[in-house]
Amino acid sequence: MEFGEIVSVLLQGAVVTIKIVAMALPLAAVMAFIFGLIRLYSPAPFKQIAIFYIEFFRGTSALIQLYWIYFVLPFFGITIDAMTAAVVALGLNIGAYGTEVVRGAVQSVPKGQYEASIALNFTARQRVWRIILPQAFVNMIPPFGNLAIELVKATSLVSLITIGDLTFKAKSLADTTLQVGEIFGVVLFLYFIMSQALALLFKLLEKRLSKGLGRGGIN
Amino acid sequence: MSTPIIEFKNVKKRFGDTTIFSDFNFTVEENEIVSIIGPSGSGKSTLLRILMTLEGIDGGYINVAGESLWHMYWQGQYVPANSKHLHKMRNHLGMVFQHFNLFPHMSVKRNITEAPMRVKGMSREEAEESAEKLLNLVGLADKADSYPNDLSGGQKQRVGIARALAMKPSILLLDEITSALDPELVDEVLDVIRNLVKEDSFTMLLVTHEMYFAREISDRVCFFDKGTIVEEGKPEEIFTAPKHERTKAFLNAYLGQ
Repeated sequence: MEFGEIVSVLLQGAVVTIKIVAMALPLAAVMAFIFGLIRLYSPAPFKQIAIFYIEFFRGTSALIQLYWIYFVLPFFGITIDAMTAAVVALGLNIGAYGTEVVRGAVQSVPKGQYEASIALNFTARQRVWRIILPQAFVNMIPPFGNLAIELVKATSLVSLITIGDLTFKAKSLADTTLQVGEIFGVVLFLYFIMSQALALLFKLLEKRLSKGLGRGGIN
Repeated sequence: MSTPIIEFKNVKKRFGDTTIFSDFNFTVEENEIVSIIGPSGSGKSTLLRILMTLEGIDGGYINVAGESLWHMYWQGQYVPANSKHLHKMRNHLGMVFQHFNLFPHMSVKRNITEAPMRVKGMSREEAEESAEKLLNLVGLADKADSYPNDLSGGQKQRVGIARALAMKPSILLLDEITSALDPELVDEVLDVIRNLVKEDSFTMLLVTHEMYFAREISDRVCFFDKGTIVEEGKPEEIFTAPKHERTKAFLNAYLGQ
């Protein structure tokens, strides 16, 4: 097979991978924020639910989570298409790690900030939203960048539930052409490019936000 | 004699196994300026932090402006204060911190206007006008649009004072406000307090290691040791003729006399 053909087939797969990342990443961020804030600020029973979510999704294999959502849930009457299953499984999985990022960033805001906001008589809600979170948010960006790259790499699992992502295309090409060197070389390169692009995006975001926050954050 | 504006009665405070106050009594009259001096770990800052509701108490009670600070009257009896009660009580109090605790993500102006606008519901125009006056008072009119991290320590602390004053507290708590500053920056901060006291009457409670300043500004000086007031009186008495041995030893060490 011509090298150009290989690349064009793999690029189709890469587009699918990018689609999954583009949908799972926002889901992960939303989960991270919601459960991170519940974990920090809500009363005990809700906190327990958050802890269960975090520990369950961190403590079990992402592949098995994916299998559960795609292959097992139909037995309970919940059938979802492969793409949705992929986005949900990866979003929930990465979101669980993100929850700890949110918590860590909030807890890294100096105690004095919280005390000053009490002394100025801000309400509990104002303290969190106006004083603590704007400062914590900048601290979340670099670890979130790491998680985004983890997500890109984790998407290769979706090839196992019939989705034609980059890894899936690579494997089927390799099976038919046996040109494994070229194929997996290009695959490595494409994953690397995607990760680098995300890393750059997060760098820019961090820079932008630190500026908006009056150089309160990291430079 | 009028009712004191601050009153501690049999207050108990522990941190784990460490007892800070076992049975603490203390009063401050309205418009009185009281300095608290003493060795570290004697409970000086804890006293201010309890008043600012940053620390709870384990027993006794505290009145501020005629109302219980940590308790509220509910269905015929006193119960621990809820957040609404504490919110109301905090209106009386303002605090300036040793480490400034300015909000780094807000400009100097917003550091000063944010609480009056969000907490007191002041209009932006009103809050900014008041901030401008306060920045003039602390000599930082040209820094309104700077961010805290661009200021020197002394400038930060002057913003800290302006920020506390913007809420118009009737009681001002100053917690070692010059302890984190380089020596040459101490006076610019103390001068602000000197001017403040000259212009207006304040109830002020300050924990300080600046003995000369305490002597000059206070109506009363309290020497603290191990959670009790060992000796208190007019500044001249305490600084020139301390009666208690521990006060003498402390002042000797501090003033090198």
